[in-house]
Amino acid sequence: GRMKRAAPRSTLRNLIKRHKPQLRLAANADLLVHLNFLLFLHRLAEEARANAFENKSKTIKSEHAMAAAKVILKKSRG
Amino acid sequence: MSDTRASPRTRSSTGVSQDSRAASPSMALRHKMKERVRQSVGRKHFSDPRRQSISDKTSLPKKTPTILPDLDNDTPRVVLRRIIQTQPQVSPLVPKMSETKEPEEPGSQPPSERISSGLEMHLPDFVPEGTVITALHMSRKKKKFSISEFERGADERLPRNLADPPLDDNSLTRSLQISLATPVPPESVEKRGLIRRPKNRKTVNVEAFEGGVEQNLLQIRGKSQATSMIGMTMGTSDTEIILSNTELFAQPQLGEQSQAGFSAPEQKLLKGKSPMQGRKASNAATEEGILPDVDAEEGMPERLQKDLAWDPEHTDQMAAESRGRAVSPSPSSENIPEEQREQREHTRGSSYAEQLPGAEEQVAGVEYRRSRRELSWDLLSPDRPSSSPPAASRNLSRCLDTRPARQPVKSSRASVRETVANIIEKLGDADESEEVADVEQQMEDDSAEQEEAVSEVVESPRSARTHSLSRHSSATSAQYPEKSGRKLTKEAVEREAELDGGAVIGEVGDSEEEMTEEEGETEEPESEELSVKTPAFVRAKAYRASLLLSTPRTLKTAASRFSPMPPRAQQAAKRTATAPRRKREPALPSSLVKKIFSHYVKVPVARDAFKVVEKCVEVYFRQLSNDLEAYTMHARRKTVEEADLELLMRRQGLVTDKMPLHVLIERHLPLEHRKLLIPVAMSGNKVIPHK
Repeated sequence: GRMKRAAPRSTLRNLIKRHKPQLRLAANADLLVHLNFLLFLHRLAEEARANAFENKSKTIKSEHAMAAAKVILKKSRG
Repeated sequence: MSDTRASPRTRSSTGVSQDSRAASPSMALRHKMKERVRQSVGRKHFSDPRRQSISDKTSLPKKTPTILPDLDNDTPRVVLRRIIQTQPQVSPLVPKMSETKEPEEPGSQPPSERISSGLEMHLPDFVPEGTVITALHMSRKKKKFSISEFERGADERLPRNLADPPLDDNSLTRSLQISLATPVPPESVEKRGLIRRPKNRKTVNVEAFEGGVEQNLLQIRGKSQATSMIGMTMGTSDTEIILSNTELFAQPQLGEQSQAGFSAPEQKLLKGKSPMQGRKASNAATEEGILPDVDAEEGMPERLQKDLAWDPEHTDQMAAESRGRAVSPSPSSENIPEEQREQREHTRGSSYAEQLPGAEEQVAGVEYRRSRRELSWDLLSPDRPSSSPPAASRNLSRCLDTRPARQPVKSSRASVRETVANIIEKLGDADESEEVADVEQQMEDDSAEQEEAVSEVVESPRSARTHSLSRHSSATSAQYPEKSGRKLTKEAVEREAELDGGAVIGEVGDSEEEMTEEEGETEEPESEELSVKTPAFVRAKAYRASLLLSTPRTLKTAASRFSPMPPRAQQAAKRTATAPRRKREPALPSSLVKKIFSHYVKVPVARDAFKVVEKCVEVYFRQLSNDLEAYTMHARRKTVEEADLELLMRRQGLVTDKMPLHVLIERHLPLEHRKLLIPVAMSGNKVIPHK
């Protein structure tokens, strides 16, 4: 398998900072952000894979990813 | 099986008698075999007398009473030993065979039965090792025999095996042979299987092949245009390809593939918006006459590029903007006002989150169409003679070449004209994207030799906007050299800002500093694109609005909408673009995203899909920050706590009563992070991490 890459903590912080500069992050909250991000990607990957299988395609094409993105983004609203 | 059923009875009787006899070795052997068979048979079919006597069907596994006395011979080893002892003459030699055959002939029936049953049962039954070994030696030949026999026919095998093996000293060996032979069929079959079947190779249908190749080429070109419009600085003769591209929308070409990838799906979305296009076309036609100079045409491709580039990136933004009229630049801008704008946009975006997909499509489609319309305008107005050459040169220089390259500008200008001519020819096509692509392609080709072609492209979004402004100030801009062309872009930016004031003249000063910025920019296409994205997007909107309206008044109104954004966005974009590798809006390293996604998806992923994912990730982070802010504000705090994150995950359905957070942490996070998050009790009344 792949080595789990360490979460880019500083990048995550910068990302949120850029969107919401006035918002702060607790000490290890960015790890949970990374976890959320991983789970989001996970769901996206599952959905995209399911779409690809539905089309009897062995690879994920952009249309599969697009449709999956729509669904999962909608799901990921707080 | 009735025979077998009957056989135990008979055999039992005969067995007893044989037991008493057991005179000849062969008979003894046969007797043993019979017993063995009987045992196995008895297990399966309990002797009828037994059944009748006991009427116990469950007694199948029991051995017949007649066999019981022989149970002490249970072990094959024992039986075999006895056989060997009692049959000293047994040998695999042929003469013995004849001897043994004869006595067995009368008993051929039972032996055959035995053998047949032995076929069934001896195989599963033990085969005395010694006899097996001896049998093997002789059976080797028979194997070959039997192999050939098997090959002839399955039905004949058994009888042949029974009849042919010359070394059948005893039924045992025969059975052994048979048992040994039985594996042969598979081998023979395997052998047959190994025979190479004649491969049926379809003769290649050349015509079909060529047709498919052409189709592929078209598709590839269509895609490549989207992804490599900018990258196609090779000056490949893709013009024809682009010209023949029948896609509705030119693919955004900013070096950022994500954009292109997004635009690809967007295209599909947008393709359905043809009716709107018609409307836009009419608008474009009306606006045509208003377009001052040819700058538009050059600016068009740039603008289009920029628009296209922006569209995918900021369709959601555009959606919010289009809806809320909020010109919020993408997060790329570093300016605080831009951030504020972003926040505005975020709020809008979150409010419109549900409509985002549709809005995105619509917006993107609108943008695309607008850009295409504009391009059509520009294409149609290449004749603007007076200002066009200088404007063209200016635009060309701006779009394609670096400042120092004047000659290439001229050459590019010519090529641009050619491109424009081509585009005009194709204006009849409904696919404006082709034209755009062509123009862009031409531009790209022209700038092929330019190292800063990329920067040009990056600037194109900016310059596209400035183009629009510059169009209005064509007179002033025309005078500027190429360098000033950049200034013009800045001017255009400024103009945009000042459109409400009706001021068309840009601020040279600003343009100058922006010029320096532009000159300094050597960022990668990616960073440039990213940095330019939002402002380009904003600019594109303003530009588009201005183009569509085309009158100063309309421009004013259009600009007023975007005025707060464009200048800041443009400045920010330019500044970010210029600052070498200015932190393009911080985004997660794409390699990380790719790796994680590939790991989770477990199947190969197309490159375009990665771009879609990248875009999706950006949207996700925006949503995420919005939600976190909402939660934190609700708790009247200023710092996002882990509880907020957990609440978010719970609302997303990731954390449930059945799936606690800790489990998710353990599953997905590496150990080093897990330790930080999950308090672990250590000895000494210590808890790590300390809570």
